[in-house]
Amino acid sequence: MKSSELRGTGSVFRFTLIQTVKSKAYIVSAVILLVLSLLVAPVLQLINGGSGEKKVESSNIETVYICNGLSFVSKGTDITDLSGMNAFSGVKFEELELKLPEGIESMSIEEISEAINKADRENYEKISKELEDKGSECKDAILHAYLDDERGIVVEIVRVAGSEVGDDECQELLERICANLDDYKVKISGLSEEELTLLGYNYTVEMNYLGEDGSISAAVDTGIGGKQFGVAYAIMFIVAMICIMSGTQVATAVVTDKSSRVVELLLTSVRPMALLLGKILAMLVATIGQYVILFAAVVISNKLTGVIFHTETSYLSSIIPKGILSNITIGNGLIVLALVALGLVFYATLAGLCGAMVSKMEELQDTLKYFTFASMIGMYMAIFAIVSMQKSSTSAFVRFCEVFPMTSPMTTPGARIVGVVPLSYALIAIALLVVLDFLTLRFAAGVYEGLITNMGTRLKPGDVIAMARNKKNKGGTK
Amino acid sequence: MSFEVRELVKSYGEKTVVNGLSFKMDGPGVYALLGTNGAGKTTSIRMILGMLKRDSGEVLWNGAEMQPEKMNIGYLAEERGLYPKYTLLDQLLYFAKLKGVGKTKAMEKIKYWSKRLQLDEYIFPPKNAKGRPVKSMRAEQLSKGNQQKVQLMAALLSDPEFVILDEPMSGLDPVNTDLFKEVIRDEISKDKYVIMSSHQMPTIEEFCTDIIIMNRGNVVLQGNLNEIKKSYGRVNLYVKCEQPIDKFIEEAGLTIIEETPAETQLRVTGEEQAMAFLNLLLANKITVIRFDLREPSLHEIFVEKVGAGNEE
Repeated sequence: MKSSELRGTGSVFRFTLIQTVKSKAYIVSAVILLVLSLLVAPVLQLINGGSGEKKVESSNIETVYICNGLSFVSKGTDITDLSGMNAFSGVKFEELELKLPEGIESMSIEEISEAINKADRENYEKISKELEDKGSECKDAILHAYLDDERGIVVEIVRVAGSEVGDDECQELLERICANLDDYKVKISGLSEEELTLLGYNYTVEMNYLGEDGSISAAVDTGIGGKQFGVAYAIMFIVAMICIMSGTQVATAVVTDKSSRVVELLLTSVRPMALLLGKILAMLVATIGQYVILFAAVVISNKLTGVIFHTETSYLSSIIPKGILSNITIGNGLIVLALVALGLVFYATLAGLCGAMVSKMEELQDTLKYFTFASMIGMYMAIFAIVSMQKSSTSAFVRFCEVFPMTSPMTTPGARIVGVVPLSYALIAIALLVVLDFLTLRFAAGVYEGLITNMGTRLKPGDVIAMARNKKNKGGTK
Repeated sequence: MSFEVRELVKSYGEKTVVNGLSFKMDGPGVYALLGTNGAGKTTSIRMILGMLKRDSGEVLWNGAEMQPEKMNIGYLAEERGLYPKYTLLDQLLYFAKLKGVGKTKAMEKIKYWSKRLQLDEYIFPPKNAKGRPVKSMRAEQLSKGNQQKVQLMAALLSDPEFVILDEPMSGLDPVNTDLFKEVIRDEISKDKYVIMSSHQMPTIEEFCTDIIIMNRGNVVLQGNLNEIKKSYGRVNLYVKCEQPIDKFIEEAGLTIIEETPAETQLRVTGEEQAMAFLNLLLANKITVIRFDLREPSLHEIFVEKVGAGNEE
């Protein structure tokens, strides 16, 4: 490719970008996206009843009655220690004594357990009745702790329906009690906190092979978890949307040049390659810009929601899995950006090619279907790949989609972020995209050049391919 | 400096739309490309400008392959075009930028041309009633003639050394036609290389020194306009008399080309035959009001070469 082929790309890029950003359609859609993004966090917060982590300023709870079905939840341990929680300074704890039958010492373990449960149930029923009788004026609550075969240790707070004791204060109190319980576990186990944390971890089992080059490959494949799937799917969806949006805009810009007949004037100064590339880059920046605005607005909205609703974390933050994005390092960020950018260039070039095949705006839909078809194939294959990653992240189909240029821009970024794509596959995907982008751009520019002054009927893909072949065979002079 | 086109050929399938076009400009001047619709004029211009790949032939500027994107070329295309939704100022600045003209210089040029072509009220509208600046108009808000003036402005903004005007005056009213002619005359006076394509023969006669007439891709006549006319000789006789002269025309064996109430146009072989006809009229006491012997017009040459059926 000669440098003169690209002369003027910058001017085309700037002009197209400025005019796109100044257009009413762009401004209106950006404003709508901005408003929606700003509203998403507060609306979710309101819909979900402010179920984020709210910081309680003062508690209405007066007395907490402890129904202690477990021996370690009792006064005299640190379970009810609320030091540092000024809002709860007025809360009193009262442990209900378990009335155990006489001669318990001679009972078997099963009988003792049954007796404790029975006494606990009686205590719970009795205090519940008392609180109920007080009605909605009652500001007391019951802390009930018991062991459930399926759910483990259950710690619940019960209060009278309609009482002034709110969800937020109950939530904060429960969290503190559970934290105290963890401390208690440490204390009675004689282990350090780190040792206890280690004990709490689950096992993930892998059997790997060591390759000659020192690389490690998995012998037994484990699929991705639900949270990883969610992140990979969301990223795939966003990339696909940007591809489709920017592609459509590129095609529209190409047809605008032809339908407005400006293209002949432009071609006296710039080559078709520069015209096409300038437009593609401008539309990519414009579309990505909209998504950056959207993302920034969501972040700002999320922060503001925390302030407005007095919560430490909003509902939105609470639904984003913590720690799932820990793979976002500078290196991975660059890999992901490269994959996305190269993928967008590929799809935008395809769309530009569709735009070059027609002369009038009203004909664009006829050829844009080829672009839509190609992007849908890419998107559905990426969806299948990410779905099948849940079962196996190393299957042949998944690996194919991770490197195949039509699917890699949608599949690999998210999968890399959640840590299932090896570096070598990501680099192969990038290399293949670079080669394909170069070839597609050259082909599209060649066809664009051949069709740019064609103001006749729209062409079909067969005509375009035949035209490209003829050019190759004839070797025409510029 | 010289500009030369050598044996340009372009075919679409079996159909040859330009077949061996060659011409040369050794110095500044105006070269005319004439032909009917579909004769291959615009295709030739597009090949010269590198927009269309040619099957064979050469386009040379100073003896070397011409690279239009590296030259300062002003082009007014037959397919007029402006971005309908963008402001005139934005797109004019863009076109200037693509030609390598900086923003300050471009603004100066735009101001100059907008005044000259009477477009300043559209490109630099006056402030509104509240004293606030008003944005430059969009192309879609202008009449066709005014859009054409903006396009001429876009072609000349960079003060090009080489100008190609494809049907520059088509669709213009007489006032704007005069305005265009004045601008073109100025450009010619600046010693520029101009190629003009037109259907309007009087315009070509007014501006062009050399012509090429194309018909269905082939060159049917080429050369210096004055010499071409001279080679035809003075064969057009325009006569107006008080009495009917039909029987004398028949007697002299002349052909009537056209007969109008104002005059009769006859075809003669030369001055001798014309003088013999005049003597015949005078001998028969015919009162001759007008007797005008002229070379054929470009229009007539064109029709003769291309065929009346093809002419617009």
